[in-house]
Amino acid sequence: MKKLKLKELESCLQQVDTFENPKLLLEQYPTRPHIAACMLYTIHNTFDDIENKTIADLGCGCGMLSIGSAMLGAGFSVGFDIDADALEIFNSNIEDFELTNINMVQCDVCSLSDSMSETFDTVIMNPPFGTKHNKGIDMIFLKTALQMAKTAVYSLHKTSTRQHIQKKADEWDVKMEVIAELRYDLPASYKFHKKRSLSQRTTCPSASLRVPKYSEPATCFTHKEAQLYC
Amino acid sequence: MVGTSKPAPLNHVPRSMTSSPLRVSSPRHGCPVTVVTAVQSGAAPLSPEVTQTGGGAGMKLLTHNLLCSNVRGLRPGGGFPLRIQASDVSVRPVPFNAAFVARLVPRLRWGALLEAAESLGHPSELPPEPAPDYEGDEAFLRRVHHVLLEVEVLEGFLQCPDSGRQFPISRGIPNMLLSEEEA
Repeated sequence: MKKLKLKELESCLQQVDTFENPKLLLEQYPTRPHIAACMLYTIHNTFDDIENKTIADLGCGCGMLSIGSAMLGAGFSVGFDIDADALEIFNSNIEDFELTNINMVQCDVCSLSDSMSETFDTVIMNPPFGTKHNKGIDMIFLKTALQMAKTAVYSLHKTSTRQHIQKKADEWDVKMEVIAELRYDLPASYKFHKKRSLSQRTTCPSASLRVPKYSEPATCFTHKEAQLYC
Repeated sequence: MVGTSKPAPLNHVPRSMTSSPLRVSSPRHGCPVTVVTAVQSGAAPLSPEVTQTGGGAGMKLLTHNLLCSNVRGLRPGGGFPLRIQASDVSVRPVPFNAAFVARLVPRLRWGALLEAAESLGHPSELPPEPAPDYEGDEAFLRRVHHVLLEVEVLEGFLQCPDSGRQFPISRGIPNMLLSEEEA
């Protein structure tokens, strides 16, 4: 697999079609190509959790993270989402990018079977935050992700929930690390999105978490105040 | 730098034409990814029913091997394997990745895989259990690759073996949504 540079990955992800009519109650918004690229690049280069691995993308939407993973050499990715319209866009993205190692399943992630334990190497996701009459949904996604992942879960969460997540991680006996703080700044060119979709976050800083399944030697870094740069 | 001043492309990037599984694909505009040449997989001859689906990938048997019924109240360990009733099956060449397939072998639910391939009319020509030296056996790995990743279900149903509940597959996407009463 040719080594893809961060800027190249981001540039490819900008071609991913996203929601035409985002559904507010499902908190639909596309993971921005810049954030997706930085996150996936770190997961691949620092942690080696993408290439030749099986990846689950919970709440995949139009497939930004799955497609990025495929570009970085994932062995196979499966996206899970509740919304048929989003999956239709995801499907057409896969066709456009001519990717052959991605599948998707329509389901409610909160109702997935308990028996899907350790079915994937890695889970990479940008889950709903729980701001639309669905409080607590981010933790349900996280718990499900931890069940499904053999090695690690990478997830985006609001910085304000970090303590709560740490508490849950201790309860579930998993190690949690913050690997980056990212800003959801919207550049001027996205202004029209702001008007159309109230679910866009403007300056909500969110942390990218790596939740390894089992304790690992402390070679992993914690970047509490780090910003990722292209 | 965080954020970019370049205007983001909107949703009017021209879509590629219907892809032929055997055409060398040109990189999507502006996107310098490695060109993926669809290679005919090794041991298994290309099935005469290769169809140009023009759509995203159908449900692969690898996905089927991972999916459990999520109907409530099943016995522990129940709901697997889902029985496939397919009305549209196709074969799509996928680049062979020996290292990836070898890693998967010990984690697959082998009996379910063989049964599924058989039920789709694509008998796998695989042994009842992987041989101890499977990692070095390329012909074997190519056969595994073929049934896991190249056979696709586009339309049909997945049936829960315990409850009988049917989950439709349409355009390659299984729909596991439960009704309000079931959830």
